Amino acid sequence: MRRWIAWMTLLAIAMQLQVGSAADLSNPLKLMFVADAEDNIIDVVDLDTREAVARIETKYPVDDLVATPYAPVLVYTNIEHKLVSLYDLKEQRLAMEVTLPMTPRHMVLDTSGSKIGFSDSVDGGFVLFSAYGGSIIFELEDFPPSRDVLFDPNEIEIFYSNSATGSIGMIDTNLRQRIEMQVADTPGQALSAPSRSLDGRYVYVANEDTGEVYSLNAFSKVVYRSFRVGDAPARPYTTPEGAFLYMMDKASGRFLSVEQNRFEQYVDTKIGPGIDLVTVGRFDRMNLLMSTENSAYYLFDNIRRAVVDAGAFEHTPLDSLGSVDGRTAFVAFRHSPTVAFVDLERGAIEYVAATENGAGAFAIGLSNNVCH
Amino acid sequence: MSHGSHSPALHLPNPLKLGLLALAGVAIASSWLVFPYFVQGQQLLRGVGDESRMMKGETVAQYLTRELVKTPNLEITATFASDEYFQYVDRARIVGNLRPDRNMIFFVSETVHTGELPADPPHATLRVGEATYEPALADGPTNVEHHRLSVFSFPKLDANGDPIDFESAGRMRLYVSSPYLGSPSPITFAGGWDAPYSLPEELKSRADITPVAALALGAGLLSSVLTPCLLQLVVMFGGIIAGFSTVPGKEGIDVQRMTPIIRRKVMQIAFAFVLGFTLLYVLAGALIGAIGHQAQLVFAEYSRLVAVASGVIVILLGLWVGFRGTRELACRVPNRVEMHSLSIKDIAGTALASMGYALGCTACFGGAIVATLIVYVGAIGSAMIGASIMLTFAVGVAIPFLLAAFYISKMDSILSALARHARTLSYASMVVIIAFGLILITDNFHTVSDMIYPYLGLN
Repeated sequence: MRRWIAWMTLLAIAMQLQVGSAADLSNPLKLMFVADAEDNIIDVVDLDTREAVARIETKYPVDDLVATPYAPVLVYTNIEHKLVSLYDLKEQRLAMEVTLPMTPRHMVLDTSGSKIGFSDSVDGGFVLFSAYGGSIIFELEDFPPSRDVLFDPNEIEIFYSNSATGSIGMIDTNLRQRIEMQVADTPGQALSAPSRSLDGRYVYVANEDTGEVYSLNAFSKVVYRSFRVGDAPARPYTTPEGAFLYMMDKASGRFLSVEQNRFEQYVDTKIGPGIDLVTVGRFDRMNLLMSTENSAYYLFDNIRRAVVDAGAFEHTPLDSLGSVDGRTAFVAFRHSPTVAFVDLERGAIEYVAATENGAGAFAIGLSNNVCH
Repeated sequence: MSHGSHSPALHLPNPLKLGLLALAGVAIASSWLVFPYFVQGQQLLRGVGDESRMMKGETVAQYLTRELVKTPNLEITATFASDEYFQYVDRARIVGNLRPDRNMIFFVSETVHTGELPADPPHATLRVGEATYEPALADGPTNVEHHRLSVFSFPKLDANGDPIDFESAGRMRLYVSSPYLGSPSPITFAGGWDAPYSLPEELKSRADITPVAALALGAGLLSSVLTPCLLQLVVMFGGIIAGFSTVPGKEGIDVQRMTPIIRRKVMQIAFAFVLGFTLLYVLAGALIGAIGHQAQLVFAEYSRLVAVASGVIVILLGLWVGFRGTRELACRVPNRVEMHSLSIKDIAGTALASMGYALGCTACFGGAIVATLIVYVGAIGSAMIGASIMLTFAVGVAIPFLLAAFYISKMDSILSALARHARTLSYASMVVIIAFGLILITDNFHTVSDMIYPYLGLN
C-alpha cells in the first residue's frame, strides 16, 4: 500500500512538473507576474485564461519586478541583498544575477523595455541598467535620495525629484550628468515622483507639503503653471491616450482633471478619500480610482463627468495596472492571495488566485500605464 | 504571360503554383506594411509635431510681443512671457528659476545698428492701473555691442502677499529706460497689453500644419498606431475580390468568355473598395480636425454602436455575396450590357462593405488617431487639416490594394480560377465577410491582428 502511495505521489509530482514545464511563458504580453509578499515565489497568471499557469521560485523575497514586453525576460529585485535577477521566461531558468552598488528600492522600466532605472529614496544612488544585457550601463554615485525616476519618450533624459533640495532633476544619459531646477519654495519639502505627458513635453510633480502640483515645460525647464490641489496631493497621473492630467488630494478626496493640450479644467469634484491609484480605459474614458489606504473603488466616466459605479474590494489594493487594450484593470492586494480583474466598461470584478500570502509586487508584460 | 482573351485555351496551373500566385497578390496588397519597417512612425510624428509646435510658438510669441520703438538706429521689443507663453514656446536658453505661475515675466530685446548699447541692462517698471511695480528679478548681459536680451520678473503678489489684480485694471504697461544712443539721461519707451491677458481662442486652437507636414503625418500614422487594424482589411479585400468579381455559373462555364469580364471587374471592385474606405477615413479625419479632443469622447461614446451597425452592414453584404453565388448568372446574362449593369450593383455593394468595415475600424482606432494627432501636433484646428492627414493615410493603404488588383487582373491563371470556382469562392467569401462582421459586432477587432502581428516582428 505504501509503495502504491509512493508511486502515485511520484506520478502526481511528475504530472505537476509536466504541467509546470508545459506552460509557455515566452510571450510576456499575455502574462502577469505576481510576487508573493512573504514567500520566495512569483506566480505567473495567463491574462487570457485568467489562471496561474506557472510558479517561479526565487532565492530571496522579491521586492519589485518588471517584465520586458518584447523579450521573454523577467527582472526582479531583492533590496536586502541589492540583487537584480534576470529570469529567462522562454527557457524558464534564472539567467543572471547582478549585485548593484546601490539599493534598488525603486525600479522603473523605460518605454522601449530595454533599460531600467534604479533609484533609492532612502540612501540615494542611481543605476541605469540594461534589461536585456543584464549589465550596468552607468551609475551615479552622488545621486540624491529619490523615488521612481521618469524616462522621457526619447530615452535621452531621465527626470527625478529631489526633496532635499526641493528640485526636479534631469539626468542626461548621453553626458551622464545631471542638472536640477528648484521647484519648491524651500528645500526639504517632500516631492512626489515625477510624471509626464505622453509626448514628454510636460513634466508634473506634486509638493506633498504645500499641496501644489507643478507643471514644467520639459524643454525650457520652466515651471509655467502650478495647481493648488489640497493638503495631501497624490502623484499626478496622465492618461494613456494623452487627453488628461489627473490630480488627486488624498485628504479631501478631491479629483481635479485638466485637459492636457490646452490646460483647461475638465473636472473638479470630490470622489473619495485616499485615492492614489488610477487605471484608465480606452479612449481615456473610464477610470478606476482606488486607494492604497482603503478598499473603496470608484468608476469615473469622463463623458458623464461623474462616478458611474462604486464599491469596495475584498481587501486594500497594493497597486494597479491597465491592460494594453484599455479594457481591464488589474488590482493586486497586499493581504489577499488574489488579483482582481476589473472590466472597466462593465464594472464587473473577477478575483483570480495568485500567490500564497498576498502580493508584494506585480507586473504585466505591457500596460497602458506608460508615463504614470 | 499571356492574356486570356488571346490564348486559345486556358489551363489551370497546379494548386501550388496558383497558391503562390495568389500569395503574391496578398503580399502586394499588404505592402503598406513596409512602412513600419522603414519609417519610424513615432519619430516622424514627433518631428512633424515639433515643427508644428515651433510654428505655433512663433505665432504665440508674436502675439505677446510689443514693439516699443523701431527706428533705423534703435529697436526695442518686449514680450510678455505669460504661463501660456511657456506652455507653447520652447526657449532652451532660458534655463532658470523663472516662475510664470507666480510672476509676470517680460523679455526685453534691444538692438542698435550704429554705435553701441548702453553698458548696463535697461531699467524696467510695470504699471497696472495707478500702481507701479519694480521687478523682483532683472537680468541681462552687460557691455554688449549691438544686441541684448534681458528678463524682468514682477511678482503676482504685492508687498503684503495679496494677489495683484492685473485683469480688472484693463491694461498693463511696461516702461523700459536706458541712456540710448549716447543720451546723457535715460530715455523711456513703453509697451502695453490689454486684459484679458490669456491667448484668444482662435490662437490656442490653431495648428500650423503645412501640406508637406500633413503628408508626413499620414505616413507617420500609417507606420505607427493604425497598422494592426489594417491587417484585417487585407483579408476583407481578398474576400470581396473573390466574392464580387466572379460571375457565378454552372460547371463547364466558358472560361475564355468570362475572363475579360472578371479582369475588368477586379479593377472596378478594387477601385470601389478603395474609394469606400478612403471616403470614410477622410470624413473621420474631417471630424477629428473639426472638433479635436471632443472627437475622442465621441468615439468613446459611440464606438460600440457604430461597430455593431458596421458589423450588421458587413454581415448583410456577406449574405448577399453568398446568395449571389447561388444564382446562375453566367448562363442567364446574355450580353455585356447586362454584365455591366450587374457590376454596378456589385461595385456599390463593395463600396458599402468597405465603408462599413472602415467605419468599424475607425470606431476602434479613431480615439488613437485623435490622441496621436493631439499629443504630437497639438490641436488639429480644422476639418481640412484632419481630412488631408487621413487622405494621405488612406492613399498609402489604397495604392498597394490597387496594385494587387492590377496584378490579379494580369494573371490569367488567377482569373481562370476565379471563373471556374466562382460558386465556391462566393461561399468562401461569404464566410470571410460574415466572420469579419461578427468580429465587429462582438468587439473582437484585434483578435485577428493579434494572431498575425507577433510573426511580423513589429512592436
